[in-house]
Amino acid sequence: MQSKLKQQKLTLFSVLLLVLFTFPFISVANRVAMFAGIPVLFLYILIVWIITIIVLYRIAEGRQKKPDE
Amino acid sequence: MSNNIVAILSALFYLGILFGVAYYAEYRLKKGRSIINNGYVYALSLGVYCTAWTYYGSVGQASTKGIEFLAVYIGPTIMAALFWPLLRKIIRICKTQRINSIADLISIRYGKNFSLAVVVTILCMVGIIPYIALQLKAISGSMNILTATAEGGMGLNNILGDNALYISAVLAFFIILFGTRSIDASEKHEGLVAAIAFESIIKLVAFVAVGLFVTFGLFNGFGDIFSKAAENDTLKKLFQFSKDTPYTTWTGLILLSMLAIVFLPRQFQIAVVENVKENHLKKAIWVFPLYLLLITFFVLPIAFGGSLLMGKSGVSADTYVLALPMHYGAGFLSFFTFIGGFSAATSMIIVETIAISTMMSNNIATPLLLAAQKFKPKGDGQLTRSILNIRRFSILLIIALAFLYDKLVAQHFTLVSIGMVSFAAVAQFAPAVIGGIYWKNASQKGAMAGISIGFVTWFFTAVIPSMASTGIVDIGIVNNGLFGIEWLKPLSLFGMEGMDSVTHCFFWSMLFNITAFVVVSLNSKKSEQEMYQAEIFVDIFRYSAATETNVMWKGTAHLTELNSLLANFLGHERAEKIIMTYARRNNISLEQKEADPRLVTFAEKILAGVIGSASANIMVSSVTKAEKLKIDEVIHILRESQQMIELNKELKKKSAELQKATQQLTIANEQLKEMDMLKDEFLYTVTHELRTPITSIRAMSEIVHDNTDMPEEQRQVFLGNVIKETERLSHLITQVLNLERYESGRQQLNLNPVLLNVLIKDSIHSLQPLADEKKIVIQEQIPDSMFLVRCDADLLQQVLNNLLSNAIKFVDAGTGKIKISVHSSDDELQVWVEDNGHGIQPELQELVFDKFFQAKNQTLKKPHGSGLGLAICKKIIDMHQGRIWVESAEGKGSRFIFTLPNG
Repeated sequence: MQSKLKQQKLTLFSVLLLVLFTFPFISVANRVAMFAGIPVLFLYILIVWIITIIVLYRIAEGRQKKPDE
Repeated sequence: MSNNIVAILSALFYLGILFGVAYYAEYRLKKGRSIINNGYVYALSLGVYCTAWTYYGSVGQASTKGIEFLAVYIGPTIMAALFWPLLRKIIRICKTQRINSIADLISIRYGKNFSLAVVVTILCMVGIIPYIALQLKAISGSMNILTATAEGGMGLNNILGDNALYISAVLAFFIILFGTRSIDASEKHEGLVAAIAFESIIKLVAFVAVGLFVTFGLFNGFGDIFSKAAENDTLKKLFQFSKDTPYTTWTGLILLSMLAIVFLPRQFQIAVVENVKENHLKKAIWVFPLYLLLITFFVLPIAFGGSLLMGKSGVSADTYVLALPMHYGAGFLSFFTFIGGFSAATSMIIVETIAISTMMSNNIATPLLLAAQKFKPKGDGQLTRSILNIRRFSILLIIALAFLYDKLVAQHFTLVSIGMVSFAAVAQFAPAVIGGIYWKNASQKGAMAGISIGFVTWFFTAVIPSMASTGIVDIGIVNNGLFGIEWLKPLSLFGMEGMDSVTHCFFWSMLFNITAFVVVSLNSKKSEQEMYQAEIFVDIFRYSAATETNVMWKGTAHLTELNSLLANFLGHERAEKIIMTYARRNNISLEQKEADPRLVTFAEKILAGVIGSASANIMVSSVTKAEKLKIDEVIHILRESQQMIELNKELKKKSAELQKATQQLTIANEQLKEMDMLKDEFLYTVTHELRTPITSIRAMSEIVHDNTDMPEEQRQVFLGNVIKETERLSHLITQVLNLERYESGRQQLNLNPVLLNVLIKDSIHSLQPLADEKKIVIQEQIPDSMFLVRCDADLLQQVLNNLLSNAIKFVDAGTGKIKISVHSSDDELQVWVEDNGHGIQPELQELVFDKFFQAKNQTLKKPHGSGLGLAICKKIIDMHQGRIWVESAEGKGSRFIFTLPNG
């Protein structure tokens, strides 16, 4: 049961990622500009990427602490 | 020249370390403490995705096209989220079916089809060998840079790498040593995987070291690099997607790399075949994207930094990673960087070669060998050796082909272009595999049609143009179309413009592939074998438990023939042992001459691990006589096995429920028994208590009755005693009834706000005469504030009376002192009743609240009262959600305290 839920969460998340990383979302950051000394497009991708890793960690391993509840 | 020797020596030294790591891993495995049975090692070994292309090529790409290179790492990051749904299913299928390559996966799914396996193998060879060549090119290229002097002469062509030849030879030796240890290809290559994980660490550390060197050594941090780049018109354009990178390319590359991370032979090998535990995926899901982020983080700074510092010196951007530390005199870092790139290249070569050589030997070479020999067993272990030799030869062949390709063709391409072409090649497997594990109607003919047409389209749109650019085929095809037909231009098929060549190839090949796959699948008849496999693959999580004993075979086979077949490949001893173990585990008798169908299926699976499924199928059918299964039999077998599983589940659930119920019953029974015992005890004590007054009443009445001449005065005394005893009797009975009422829960609380002060005063007032009689002082210490409590006034009065009268009873006449006080805190009120009597021993302090405590403890000098008073008090306080206890020390009086919830 738990593994099914995890599966659904991850599948949904992958769709969300595809949306965030491609057109039209990415076009928001596609400009010649810098923020905090870093090109905006690079910064956007970095931030989404880091959040992605954190969310993946939470979904993939988050429930280990409470086994089978 | 001396630099050259140092470079070769350091590369060889590094390979030596790899041997060490691999040996150590195998040594640990023998000791039973595997180091690759670990989620982090698994995630790191997936880093084989990052090749020399990542290491050198992405900087080159970033310096001309900006951020576009990241698409190839974002795709796998998105795919990581799908590892759990998709990859886990593939892993489960491959484990239960003993599948050890992507060619096997596809051919087994589609009815163990031989030609499919061959097509997939050929496609892999054509698509991947150039990619391996690319890695060799990177090695020799980086070596040349390392050995050339800093000024000029940095071209890749000047010392045509004899170096690469040595390196290739050592690599081939390494792969043969650790890759062909065991005949069973589905066994794990512990040492190899450990070495790959180690290489992943080396290349990451080396690349990050260069990144730090450039960012903080040559510049003053990220802000410095980017702001200087912003002043440069060429570099400034790279802050956004360039004109060459429309959104279609970006999206196309993301999708393409999503497929590559699963279907590249090396990824399939590491992620599926070498996977030890499904649960390691949980780590890989987040560690692998983290790895990709870290290794690509410094690409942009290095690219910008390189362009700013060396852009005008004519150094190729592909070599910035190595050229920067060299040019700025960081000698040690240069060598370390070179080793990092070397590790990126070798890890890819090692795993890719293993994967493809398994496919080649299982699907092409071994069937040829078996066909040529017409399968005449030539004694023990002969075939084993032949097959191992075939595999070794395949490895040498692949490395040699790659080496030749590198020398003859690859010099014309940049690092990236060949890589993307390979990606597009393996993407052709995606429809057949994904369709195969989620869609039962996918058929063998559909898969064949899809892969073939995809292959042809890929070849036409991706390979022909690169061949044309090197002059191998007529450039006219690219410019004017095939046979001069305008619509058949490889780079704008059917006049489609506006996409770069990779996206264009990806789009058309996938479109044709998927369409053919779906349309043909829907319109073709499937064989029974196929339908059975489709069922198993799609519903693997339902069947995997039963798959070992699930039999899809009917016919006759002789046990001895089956035995000798296995012995040919595994040796007599091992074959015997395997069969014995299996038979024992599944209760199969080995006495009969005919082999059990389960044994036949099992033997085929074992063989599939050795020689691939297609050959195994042929081998087994050569010694058995199979009858054709009818379709209703297939369905029957499947339904039966599924019903068994469901029945089993149901049974397990039922028995668990039953067990739970039994447990509950046992507990209830225990409680009942205990209550029964308590009741008995209670009854015994009550009747005992009742007998005492009745006995004395009877005795005194008899005296009065018998002695009619008794003086009036004496008679009065006796009758008075009778009345007193009767009162005591009725008091006892009232208390027993009360207690029974409270315990049974029939007593309803009549809750009202009551002034505690008034209650206490009433109690003292009613008991004052008794106290006066014994000359006892009752002190009250009640704060002036009003204590309003919600309680049942009558019951609480009873508690106070009880405690007070107890105190009066147990203090000495004349010197006795009693004090009642009220203490209030935030959430409760405490009422203290203190006396200066004899006190209560610590061990008895809890017991005094038991029923008939006095009666049971005859050690007390003389019982006072019924022995129910405190039990009743406790009951009443419990009903008010309060607590009651006693604090006392022997000889120092006691303090009874009860609490009531405030407000």
